[in-house]
Amino acid sequence: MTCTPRPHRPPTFQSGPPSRSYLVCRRLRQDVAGFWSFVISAANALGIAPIKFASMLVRRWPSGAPLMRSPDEENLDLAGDEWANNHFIYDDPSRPSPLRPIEGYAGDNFPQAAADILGQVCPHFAHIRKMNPRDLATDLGKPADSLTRMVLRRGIPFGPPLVGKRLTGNQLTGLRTSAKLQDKSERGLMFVCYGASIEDQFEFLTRRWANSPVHPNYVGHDPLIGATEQQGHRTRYIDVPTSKGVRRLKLKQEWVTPTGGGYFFAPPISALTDVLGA
Amino acid sequence: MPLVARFRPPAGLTDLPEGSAFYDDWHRYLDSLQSDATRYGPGCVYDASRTNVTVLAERVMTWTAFPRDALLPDLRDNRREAYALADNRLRQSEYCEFLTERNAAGKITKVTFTCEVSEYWARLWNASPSTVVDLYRRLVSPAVTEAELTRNGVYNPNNRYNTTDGIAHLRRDDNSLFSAIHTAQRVQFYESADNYQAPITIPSAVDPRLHLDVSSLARKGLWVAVADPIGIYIVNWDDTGFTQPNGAPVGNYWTIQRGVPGMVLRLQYQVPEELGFVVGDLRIGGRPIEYGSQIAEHITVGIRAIVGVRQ
Repeated sequence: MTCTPRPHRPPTFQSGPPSRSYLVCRRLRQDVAGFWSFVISAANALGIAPIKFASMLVRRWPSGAPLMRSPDEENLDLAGDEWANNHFIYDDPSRPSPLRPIEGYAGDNFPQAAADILGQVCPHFAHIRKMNPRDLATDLGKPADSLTRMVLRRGIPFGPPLVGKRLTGNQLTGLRTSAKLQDKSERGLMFVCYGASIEDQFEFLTRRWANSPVHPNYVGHDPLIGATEQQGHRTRYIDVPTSKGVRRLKLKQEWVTPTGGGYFFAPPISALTDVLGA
Repeated sequence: MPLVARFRPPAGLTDLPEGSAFYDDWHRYLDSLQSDATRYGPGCVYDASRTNVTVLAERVMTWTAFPRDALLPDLRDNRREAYALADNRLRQSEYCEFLTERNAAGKITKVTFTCEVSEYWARLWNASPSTVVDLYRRLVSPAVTEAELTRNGVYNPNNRYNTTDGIAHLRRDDNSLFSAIHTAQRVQFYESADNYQAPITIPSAVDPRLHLDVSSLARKGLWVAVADPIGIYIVNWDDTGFTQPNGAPVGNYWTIQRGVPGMVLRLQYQVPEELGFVVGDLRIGGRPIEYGSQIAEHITVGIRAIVGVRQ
């Protein structure tokens, strides 16, 4: 009996081996001067301090201290406490974590985060709140569904900093009239992340959450990395909570531009030892 | 005085002239679905036509039209099969149903999405059968007759033009306004310390979204009501990454057939005939569109709520 081979048709939706990771690398050029120009101008119009407004866009103060644990001001001590600076959720107040005694560590004595279900402290559009909604329900459903979308990521800065290592209020005041705001030097971030599925994680986070004004929570695009292209229109928007109510702000500029990158297969250890090392 | 004097039809539809008894009937129905004010711990759910609350914010609770339980947990790594499954109307469980139409070559020509509830159409029929027939003729087929829409003298939501031969409104029993409001007002997790500790097992996207959001608000002592006009809406769609056969970004092929932007009830996706290609010739992120559910992944459904404190 002879068999006629069926014509080869590449699968539309690829399923892969279960044991592997993928590495995504993207070179992100950042218009830091343009970002701060926007921040200063928009913050003045909204009646919000510029660094506070910039921190609302990101979810952390320039030092890394989270808005949720320090809503009103920068806190360098909190930023430096790795046990405390990532301990918070959004819908409900954070609670002290019982820790075993750690030599030299006095404990997390910073004020706990208050509930912020309406996004009045850390807005729903804030970059990190969108990319890691933690305890929030999302368009996908319960928080456990968000966990399947998470990646391990690091950002590696390149290029000269606009001003010193850490931007403070005084530096920003000087920046307003400074030639620094004209500094268009090549600078940015090399974004690197590992995940189990590029499509379901990195691409999902970028396309479905960062680029969406309504996901994972209403309302606003990710002001840092979100992009939109609707029949030639690229304007994004965010709904900013202010003391006078919610103000919609159109974002006509983009400050982060991918200029290179790639997708890479990261084989499991067994492939290195049993296949390549055999 | 309560915020709402009379609930409006979904998206403020005016299918009948002002003054029709239908509008009072619709208000009474919505009023009957909601509790006047029911406490859950420090918070409360209430009827905005019965109870006066100082509104602090609007909260739009959104989810994706694609039926989550078609994909998860079993078909997470077999998305193609999940898409095929989700094109079955009876699997469309997220308060958004859609009909995928194809040409003789099997390529998709049109996908029609609806969030309209059958309760509205049944009450509209009671007030004016001819209005319903006219709507069917305009939206589904000019061949529709009154007799084909009834069973034993009453409106039949499972008539052929809303099942095998078309789509007019939601048809699954649990895709109803009764079900949505019941889900939103049955606050289950107000005693949980946080959302992580809420034991949710329901496989859809919409139920956890409503349960967790309303429970969280109640835990904070807030009062929550469904916002007027009450309805389940297509609040957004996103065709970025959709490309034409030549690789260029698509144009605007969406048509709002019922509702208004932000509160869309019926939405159609169809390429204009003069362009010479059809929906099935498009790609999303490089993948050909083979199922209507691939488009459903890019459609956002939601319910609008108001949140406040008791005066």
